[in-house]
Amino acid sequence: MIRFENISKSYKGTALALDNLTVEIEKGEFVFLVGPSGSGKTTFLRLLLREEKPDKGVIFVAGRELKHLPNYKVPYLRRNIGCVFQDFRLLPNKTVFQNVAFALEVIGRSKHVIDSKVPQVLDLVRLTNKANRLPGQLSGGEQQRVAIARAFVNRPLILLADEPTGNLDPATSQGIMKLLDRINRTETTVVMATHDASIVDSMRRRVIQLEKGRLVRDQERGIYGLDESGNIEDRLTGSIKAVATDTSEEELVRGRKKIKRQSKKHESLIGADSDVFEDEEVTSF
Amino acid sequence: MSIGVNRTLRDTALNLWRNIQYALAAVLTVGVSLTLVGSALIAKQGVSNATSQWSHGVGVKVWLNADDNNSQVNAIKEQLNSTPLIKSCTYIDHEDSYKLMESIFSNEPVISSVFTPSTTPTIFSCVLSNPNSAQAVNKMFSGQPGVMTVQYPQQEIKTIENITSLFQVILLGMAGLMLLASLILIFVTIRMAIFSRRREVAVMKLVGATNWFIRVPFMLEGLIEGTVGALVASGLVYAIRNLLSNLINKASNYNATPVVPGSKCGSQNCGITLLQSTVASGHDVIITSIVLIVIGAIVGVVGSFVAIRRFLDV
Repeated sequence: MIRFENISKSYKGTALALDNLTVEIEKGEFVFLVGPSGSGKTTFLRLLLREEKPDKGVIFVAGRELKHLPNYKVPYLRRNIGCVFQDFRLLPNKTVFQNVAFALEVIGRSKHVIDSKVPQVLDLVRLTNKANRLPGQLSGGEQQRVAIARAFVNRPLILLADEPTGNLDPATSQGIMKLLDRINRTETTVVMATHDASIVDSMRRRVIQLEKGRLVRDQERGIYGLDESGNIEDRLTGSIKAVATDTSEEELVRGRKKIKRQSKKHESLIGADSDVFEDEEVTSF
Repeated sequence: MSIGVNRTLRDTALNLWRNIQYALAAVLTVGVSLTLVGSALIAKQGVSNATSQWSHGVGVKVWLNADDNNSQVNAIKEQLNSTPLIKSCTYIDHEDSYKLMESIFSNEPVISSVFTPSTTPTIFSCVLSNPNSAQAVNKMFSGQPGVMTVQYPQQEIKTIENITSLFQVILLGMAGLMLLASLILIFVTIRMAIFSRRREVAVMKLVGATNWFIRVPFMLEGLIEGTVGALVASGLVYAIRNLLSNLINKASNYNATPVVPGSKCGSQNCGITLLQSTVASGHDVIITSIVLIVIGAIVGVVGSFVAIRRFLDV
């Protein structure tokens, strides 16, 4: 679904934002992108959306090679990618319904489609009863749910979330994560950049850690990681780490396969640990 | 598809409404500048209408010295009749010429009191067989004994044309500056519209609206401002032309002064008829309006397009 091959990107007069990064994300994966500020997370997302082009390397997203993708085709790429941000980016003078409908309107969907799809997605995010509110009348968590509804209403293949819980309290964040997990279960690939260690730790999903533009960790069912001394910390029993600072791609892949095998074993021993998220039937959507 | 068209139109209307002050300023500037352009075009058309009439109907006037004796007059008359360049001539004698002079200078009694019938020059007013031969006639007769001067309309027409073309250059120069101003105003208006809708534009880009889908409402806004300005200008040009023609028609109810004495339109309304012919026809006004609307549309589209290229990063 997403493949970065030896990607380097630098901005004028600064150090490399991404340094020879190679990463592959499969369809239906849920990936956390972690790392300190300036580690290249945002550049990663911007490259994915083709807001920028890499200096070196090849990027494939949803079957398209981005470097040679002509400008007029970029909108069609973005129709396959839903985006959620820390600051929600809702239109303040439109109601919840209108905000979500806007995403369909501007790609030319008919009123018929809008009238059937918007209520469905509002139901998914549990905002049916607030469809006629303005964003200003909603709580932060509700606003983020509107933003997720807007990102998802077009059924994208990929959902990008840049610090979606950055402005929210832990309990609300939990709700948002639940929602993202449900979306992930519809075979939607979710890539989430975050600083929220507790979320990463509790979700136990694949973690890609960047530092100074380089991949330093790619871990199946990972945790947030760094302790104060800057080392990757094994905070939870049974978690397996794969430090990638100086490992080759082959080693990484091998490591990931190993992790997969082991985590399956782990799962069968302790049972599925994601019961919390299985309270909703998503496939009907 | 229809939802796209509807949306585009609604967006455009909304943009215009939100930026109504800027939109009005742009429309008025386009209007004023195109009125200048239109006036210049109409004036050119009017003058060329009038001068083409003059060069057909009017011939050459040979002014004789007031103290000429009969033999001199006869000699010149003989020559005028014999040359193939001239179709026919009328002689305006001292009495008629004095009356003419009196009526011309009726507002300036000091001048007319200087003359008496016998001191007023007499005139041969001639119709040319070919309007282009005035120069030849001039060469033939000026400097002959008894001839004071030869006057032919081509000269005057040239002068009038020179004056009008100077006026046109001034008008068009001003119009050009004004058009530049309106271009900049439309540019600024669209820039404001883009700024006030930056959130929506960002979301549109994010969810994959096509570039043209985002651009078109802004271009349409510029187009509408330019075109409406041009319509205002067309209205103004039409109004100015009607006002002038009304004034001239009213003036023709008076027993006005003949401007070109002795010519075949020697009746009292001759001067007015000439003036009336400078009023452009309705047909000219329509053509001018079309030209103005095209210019207005181009200014609107160019202004908004430049703004979109600069400020709408899609």
